[in-house]
Amino acid sequence: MAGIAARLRITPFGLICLLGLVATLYLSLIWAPRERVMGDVQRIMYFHVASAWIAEFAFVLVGVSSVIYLWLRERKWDIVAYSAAEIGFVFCCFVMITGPIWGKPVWGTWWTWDPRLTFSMILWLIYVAYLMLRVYGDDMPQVKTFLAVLGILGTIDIPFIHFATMWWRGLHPDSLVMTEEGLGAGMEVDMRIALGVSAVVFTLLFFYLMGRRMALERLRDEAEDLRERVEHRHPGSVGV
Amino acid sequence: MRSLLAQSWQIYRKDMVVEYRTRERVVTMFVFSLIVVVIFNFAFNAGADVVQRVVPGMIWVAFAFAGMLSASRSFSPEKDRGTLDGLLLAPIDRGSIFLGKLLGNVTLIGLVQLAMLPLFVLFFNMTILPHLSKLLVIFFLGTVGFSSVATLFAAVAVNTRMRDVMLPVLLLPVASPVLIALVETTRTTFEGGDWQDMANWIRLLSVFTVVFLVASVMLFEYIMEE
Repeated sequence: MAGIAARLRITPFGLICLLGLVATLYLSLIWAPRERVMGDVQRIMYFHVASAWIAEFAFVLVGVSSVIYLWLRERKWDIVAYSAAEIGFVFCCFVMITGPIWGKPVWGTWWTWDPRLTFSMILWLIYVAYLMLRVYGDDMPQVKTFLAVLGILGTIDIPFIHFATMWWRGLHPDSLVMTEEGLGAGMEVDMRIALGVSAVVFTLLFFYLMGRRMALERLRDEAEDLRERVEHRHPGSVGV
Repeated sequence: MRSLLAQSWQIYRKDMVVEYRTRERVVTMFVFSLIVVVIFNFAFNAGADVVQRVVPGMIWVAFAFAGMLSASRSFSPEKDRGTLDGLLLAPIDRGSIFLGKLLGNVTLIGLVQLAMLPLFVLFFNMTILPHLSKLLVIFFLGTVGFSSVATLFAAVAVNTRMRDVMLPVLLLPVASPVLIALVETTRTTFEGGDWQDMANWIRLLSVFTVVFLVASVMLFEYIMEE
């Protein structure tokens, strides 16, 4: 097992994530009880809710690291913000894909402008804006500052979007996770366990991916640095 | 504090003198809003029954686009003529540049709104006069809130390669809570609603405006450094 892991360059942390994902699949698709009204399609909730948690968590991380970046001006924090934005965007896309798959059989429609869907849509668009600015501004020295500003404003905006979309209209099933009776009181115990495991595993996976993504960005910096040094010593020897 | 306001006033005055001599921005914004309204009218083919529900949205789409035009034009000529560097070299607080530009945008959008309201009455048979005081408060709050974010992002977008596309992409998602609140309060007002009926929205508008105004003044300094 360790030999295979080494050949595939899987770190112990990566292995834990992999095993966790297998456990999540088992718990949510087989072990958790079948929902009485919605049937098996409800099982998508274990992935949908966990991804939504990561999508929001990641953007707050973008905001916090953006503040630290503007304060300390260390490239490290820009890398944290960028990596969190990219991975958060992937999870946000996953939310936008799993939502309609569940919505069609249960609500009878792929999409409806309900508060939480609208919220996810706007969050998704802010992620898109962030990544677009990163791509189209790559050649400017100030782009990291601009991105930090967008990251901060986007994070401040989250509660406003939340209330605006909530007061606007409502159809989404009432949250069963955060109820007035306590955390997860609206669900069967087994369902709660499956969702809990799923959320923890997704969080671990997020941090695993963060580590990989940040390492990649540091390698890019290093490659860029080496290229400049070679170019400096032997002008014209490096393409681009 | 006093010098900050005095400096902002100087920037504002300069921009308004330039604008008064050309009248470029305000005319473009007005014509643009008018076109949006005409096109929307085709898009919805709005009969008298639908109009009451559609007009608040139409109003704010027109003003949001006009506002983006204003914000974008408050920086792009300065950038193109190289006068932005001159502004940055001036011995003034960077925050005052932002406040001056913001005040300019609010003024121009306000002028366009004043010019457009009678046209809404004319085109859509709306009654505005009894609601005028409410509309003024809502429009003022919303315009200041929207323009704060718009002015800040215009300063960012003017530095990017795709500046015309970047402003709406950056601005509209972040400004969406304001736009939702503006459409809802405007609709409630036209339906004869009271302040009580839109207390939540007014609170959201006020808090958004204050928070984003302060945040924008603080962050503008970072955007403008070389």
